[in-house]
Amino acid sequence: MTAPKVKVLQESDDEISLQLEGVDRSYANAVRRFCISEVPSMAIDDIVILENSSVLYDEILAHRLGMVPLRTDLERYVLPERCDCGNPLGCQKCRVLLVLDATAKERPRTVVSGDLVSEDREVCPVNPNIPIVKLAVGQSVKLEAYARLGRGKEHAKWQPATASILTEGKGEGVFVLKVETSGTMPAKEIVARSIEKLEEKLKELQKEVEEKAAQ
Amino acid sequence: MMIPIRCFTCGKPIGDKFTDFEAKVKAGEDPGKVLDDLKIKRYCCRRMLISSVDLIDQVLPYYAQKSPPS
Repeated sequence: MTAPKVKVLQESDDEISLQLEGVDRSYANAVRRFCISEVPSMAIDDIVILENSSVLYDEILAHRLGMVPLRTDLERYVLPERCDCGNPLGCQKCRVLLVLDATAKERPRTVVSGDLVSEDREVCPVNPNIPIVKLAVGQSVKLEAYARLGRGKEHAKWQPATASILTEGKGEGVFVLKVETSGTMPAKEIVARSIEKLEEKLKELQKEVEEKAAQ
Repeated sequence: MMIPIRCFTCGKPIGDKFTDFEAKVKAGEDPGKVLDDLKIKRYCCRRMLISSVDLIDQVLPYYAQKSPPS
């Protein structure tokens, strides 16, 4: 088998097409799957509702907030289960607090994702125009939301890639991997992290096998 | 009640595009073309916008009268 080769076929803000050459189909498919289920991203997970007089129930409001894609910096944050703080509430390295305080005073108001105020400026909604709830005059929503890293296999809100497709390329052993991002991180970072995570998992497996074989 | 934030099937964020879509369709543009312009390619995401009805606008007036002015 020849040395692996990668060629960028097409790249835009939310999508990347890569031509993979000299890799197994199984490896390419593992990379595709990891883009969806193993690469961590940020999403709101815990919510403390202080006041909600809107027409949406607390749990619907919480679910909607959870679905909002947040910008993710994987260098800065770690998965809560990998964090050394040991605090169930999390620490600066594994969670981010976002506050929402909105009242419709004189006229009805649409609360949007841009109204969320984050304690970390880097972790903010990808798009500030996502409607969360509409408020009638006099209604208000006040809440604290805690965002954390999570994986797509746990909940779809943590899925960084909204589409990850592997197709046959021209010639034998040539594949085309197309990844579309939800905006949490650039599409090319998703692919890079996916490969990183796959290597990490394989190393864990190797270590486990070696330990068992030595017994 | 309100437009879902993500597509039910693939998870693509579509909530932010609904206001734009609704306004253009109401202005008489072809829905299919509007979706193409918004770069919504897959039919799972396209049906999210086509089939969504914002019921919250019909509910709000009742609450506006109920809640005391602050």
